[in-house]
Amino acid sequence: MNQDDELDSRLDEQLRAAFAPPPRERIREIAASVVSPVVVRPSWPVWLLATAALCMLTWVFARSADHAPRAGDAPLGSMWVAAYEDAVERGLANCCPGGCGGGFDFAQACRQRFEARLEIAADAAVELVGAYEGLPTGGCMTLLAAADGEPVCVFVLPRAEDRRVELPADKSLHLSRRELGDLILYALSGSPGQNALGSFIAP
Amino acid sequence: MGAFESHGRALSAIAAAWVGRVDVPDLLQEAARVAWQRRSQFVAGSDLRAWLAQIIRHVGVNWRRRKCMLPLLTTDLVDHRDLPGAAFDRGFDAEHLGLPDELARGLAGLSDVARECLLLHVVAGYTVSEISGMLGIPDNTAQSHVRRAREALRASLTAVHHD
Repeated sequence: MNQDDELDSRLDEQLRAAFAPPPRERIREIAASVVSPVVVRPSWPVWLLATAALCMLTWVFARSADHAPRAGDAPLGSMWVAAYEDAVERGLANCCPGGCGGGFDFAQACRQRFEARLEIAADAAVELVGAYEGLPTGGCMTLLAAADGEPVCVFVLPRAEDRRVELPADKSLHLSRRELGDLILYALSGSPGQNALGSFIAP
Repeated sequence: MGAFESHGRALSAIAAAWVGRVDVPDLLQEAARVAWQRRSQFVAGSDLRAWLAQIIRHVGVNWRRRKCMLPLLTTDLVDHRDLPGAAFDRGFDAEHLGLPDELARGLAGLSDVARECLLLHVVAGYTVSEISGMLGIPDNTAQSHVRRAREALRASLTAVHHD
């Protein structure tokens, strides 16, 4: 057995000891706990108080949502960065159902999802790879594209749901934004000079 | 939820790759809850294990995001940028593994997908082909993740011995 093999077996032993899975019975308990959760029926005064508190919270939230300016959405930015890094790591084509192209009809997808017309210009400098499937992106339509050979994630959402997304401060990626009709498009890429969003049109 | 139980070994390994060891049962429970809520979205005839694996990964991302935000909510005078693991992409808890420090650091330095591949292969005993099906990556990618992860851990051990 050479030195690498010896090291590998030592590593394997240590990893198996450190990451031994929970016993099967424990996993069965975990699974069962979500299927038949214990229901505690509170007495009616508690129930009444909880309902009143919920109504109050809803009212306060509705008021603050109407009057307060909307702050940038950093958590959503973190999710987008995670999705971009996942797509780059796995390879763009590996993140789209059916691989590169995969029969994805972008214009039709936009019509169905947003009831809006959005297409990519015929002479576009950006090449659409497909729709991203992987990590959560906050409910946006997430597209993978290549511009000048560099990967770009494009996030599309209705104007009403736009929250001025911000990237985490420690990330060196670049986020650009474009308003197109009732839709807002964001492009996340590694280069600041890319104009991937210029290729999208609302015919 | 019998499926969850029968794929528990794989799901535990993936969960451990995302959050370390201590939080695995909690992450499994959260994933089980999500899987139960979304059971109607599972396409009959498709790969159930891959579907559950995808849920575990999604829950792992959200879990880590929440965990990384926690220091900001405390009243301690801590600069979150100085905390090990505070960055969004460093939520893997390497401190409570019972592993030698150099090995724990080596594991924490791997990418999430590399750690997933390594733990699924070494701890859960899955073949490269099974791992690629579960994680939705090509066979050779899974293979190279396992190989490179081993190389990185070996290097972290030998570096210490040479010091």
